[in-house]
Amino acid sequence: MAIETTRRQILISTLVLSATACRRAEPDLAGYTEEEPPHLSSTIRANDPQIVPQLLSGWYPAEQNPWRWTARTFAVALWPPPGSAARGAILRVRLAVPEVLLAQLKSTTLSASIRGVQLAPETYRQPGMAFYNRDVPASAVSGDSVRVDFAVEKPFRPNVADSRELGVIVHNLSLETK
Amino acid sequence: MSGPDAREPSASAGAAGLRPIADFALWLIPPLLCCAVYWPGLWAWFQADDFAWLALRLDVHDWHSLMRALFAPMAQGTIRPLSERAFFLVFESLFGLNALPFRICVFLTQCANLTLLAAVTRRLTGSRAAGFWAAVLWAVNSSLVSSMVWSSVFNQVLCAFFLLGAFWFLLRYVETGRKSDYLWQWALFLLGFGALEVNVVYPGLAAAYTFLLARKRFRATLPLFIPSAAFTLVHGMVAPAHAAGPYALHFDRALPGTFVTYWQWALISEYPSTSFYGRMEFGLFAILTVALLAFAAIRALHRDWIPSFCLAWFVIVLAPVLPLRDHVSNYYLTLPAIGLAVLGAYALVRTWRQPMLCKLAAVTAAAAYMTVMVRFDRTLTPWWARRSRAVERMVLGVARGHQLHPDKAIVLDGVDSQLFWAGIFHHPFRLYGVANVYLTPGSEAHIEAHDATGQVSDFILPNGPAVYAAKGDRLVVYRVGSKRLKAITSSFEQAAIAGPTPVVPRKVDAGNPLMGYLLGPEWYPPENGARWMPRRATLRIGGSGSASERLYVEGFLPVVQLPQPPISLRVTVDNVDLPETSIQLGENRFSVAFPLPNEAVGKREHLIGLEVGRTSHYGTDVRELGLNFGTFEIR
Repeated sequence: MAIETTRRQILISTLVLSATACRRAEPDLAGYTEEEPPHLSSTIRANDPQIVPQLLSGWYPAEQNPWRWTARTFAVALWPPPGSAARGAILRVRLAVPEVLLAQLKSTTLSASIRGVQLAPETYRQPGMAFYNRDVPASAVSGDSVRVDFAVEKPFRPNVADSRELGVIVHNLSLETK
Repeated sequence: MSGPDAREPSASAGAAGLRPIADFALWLIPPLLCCAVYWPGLWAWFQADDFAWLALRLDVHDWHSLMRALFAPMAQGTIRPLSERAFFLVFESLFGLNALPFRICVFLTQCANLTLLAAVTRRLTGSRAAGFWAAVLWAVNSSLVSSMVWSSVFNQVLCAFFLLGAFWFLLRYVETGRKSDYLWQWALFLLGFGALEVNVVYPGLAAAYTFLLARKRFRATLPLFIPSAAFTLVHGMVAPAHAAGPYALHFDRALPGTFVTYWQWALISEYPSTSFYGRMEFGLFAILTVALLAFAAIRALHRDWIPSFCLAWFVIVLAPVLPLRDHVSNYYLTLPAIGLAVLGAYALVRTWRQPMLCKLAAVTAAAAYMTVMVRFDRTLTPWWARRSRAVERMVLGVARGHQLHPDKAIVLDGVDSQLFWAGIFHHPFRLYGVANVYLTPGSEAHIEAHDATGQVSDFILPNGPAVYAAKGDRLVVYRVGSKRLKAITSSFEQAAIAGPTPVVPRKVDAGNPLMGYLLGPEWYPPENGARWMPRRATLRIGGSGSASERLYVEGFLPVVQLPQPPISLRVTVDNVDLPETSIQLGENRFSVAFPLPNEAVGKREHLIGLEVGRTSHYGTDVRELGLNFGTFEIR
């Protein structure tokens, strides 16, 4: 009886392993599309590892969060979307202003510049999700890449243990044709 | 058993050595012929309904959901746990989206069917030749094309296996009287319910056979009707008959016409040629009809009821699908055609002993039938296979596009009717985790409409969202080509932006990220094709053209463990209040229609305001949630 049971177990195990071994690996999809020449993205999700090369300076690691802390000044490179060189663009930043920051600073002010064009600053006094949306003139968004420089008026220093000089929390930012 | 004179004489001593080889060939040739005729079907990919079965895996998370996936009736009222649910769940679990193992399983089962049919016919007629020819005639019948190239039609093949297997054991039981044969018949019969609903007719076949050819076993077949009656009863309760649509049953004057259509398809295929050759096929249809009926009548006069039983097989097995007047399908003939194949084979073998002229006529008719059927099979099988391959290229191309551009919607250009109805309409991309796939605006001009099946417009990206997405580089556009998808994003975006300012769409899908620009800033991000609002939210929608139009609002409701009071919903159109409504919790989704205020008529767009009476927190979600919306539409 024991031998019979063992045989049965071996048979079932063999069948299961055989079936599992037949499982096809994930298909190589490389040849299924013909792509256009690559270009930078005009939309950036702060936690997307693919856009790290576009985070030029002043960004802290995303760690496990869907956002990143910035330094007091930070910069990104964006692709000017189609038609923006003729119509102009809108710079959109979705950010968060944490309560701890306002507790220390009372308010925080964000400003930006693109190719020497200063965009109007905005001051945030309420905690929570916030937006920084500004029109960008067509003259500032030509070419294959646009550098956007940001600055926060007052730096935020969390505590003694964390001596970083922080700006704001950015979730995503984009440049859209007007 | 009647028809003993059909039995072959014993072989001479000299031929005895060749007999095993010849016998082996008789068993082997029909499966080989089947594989040769339907060879492209072995290499076909998935298409159409296959994607619904493949997607079952996505809904299986635990024992309860597994049971639901296996046994819950589908939209058309089918419950086929073995041939559809288990088949796709098991094979997909083992082999992923590799279609070949699915196809090999279908081919092997059909080879077993052909062998079973040969064995059944041998027992029935006492003739090895008849067994061989029955398998050959069925193997080439055009009704098998769908089964041999489309994995969803495995239900026909598997049901044939159970029907033939059960019938073979019945024949053994009739001969031997052994209880084990009788019980095996029962086992296979009961398993057949897991393959196809048509299995309910098996007791009719068994009763007809025993009544005509083995009367003393007739009573033993009567208990078989009990499971069939029970299945019919239960099936009627859990999957009520459709009142309208392609699966509605019509017991009317159309029945004889439907029967004649199936009879014609069984003898000369579904699409006879329209040329001179086609008129020949209609001639063949007439000749075969007269010859088979005359043969059955003459044999009946000699009290040989085998041909009558074969005709009964055709009628009994076809009967359940005859009332489907608006869904006459060639593959429904897969099982009834078995009866005609046995009849044809029996007629051929009987006629072989007649004078040369009769013999010549029979051989000519059989050859003509096979020519017509093989021509059809060899035309249609590659067509189905090519179509599945085109769907594969598109689906894998979209999967690749998603791999490269995970944050962007994918828009397809150049999709034709075949790709749409065999692929996109069945949402194949979700199998690769891709949700936002659309067709370019204007694609509907190249796709044949089938309004009873679905709306092409549901898959088209409207102009407004297309321009919005182009401006923000939120999409990637591919043109469907003969080899691969070709990215045309730049030219599409430039053309979209340069075009006239699009009107605001009259249907707003809150779950579509590309329509987010029509929603106010209050809304939460889209999730699973829908979007939650907090206590208040706004959106823009295209204007109404007449006072008779209404605002239709659809959404989804969370699962609640305890009874909760309804949620009141207040809607405004351009700041004009509409009648307040209450949304009852407990269902999966809600749908409300509002009359539009007179002031709204004629405006180009409207501002819709939404406000719920209370918000809630569901599960571990800390957000303040009002209602979860799908679409808003003015029509």
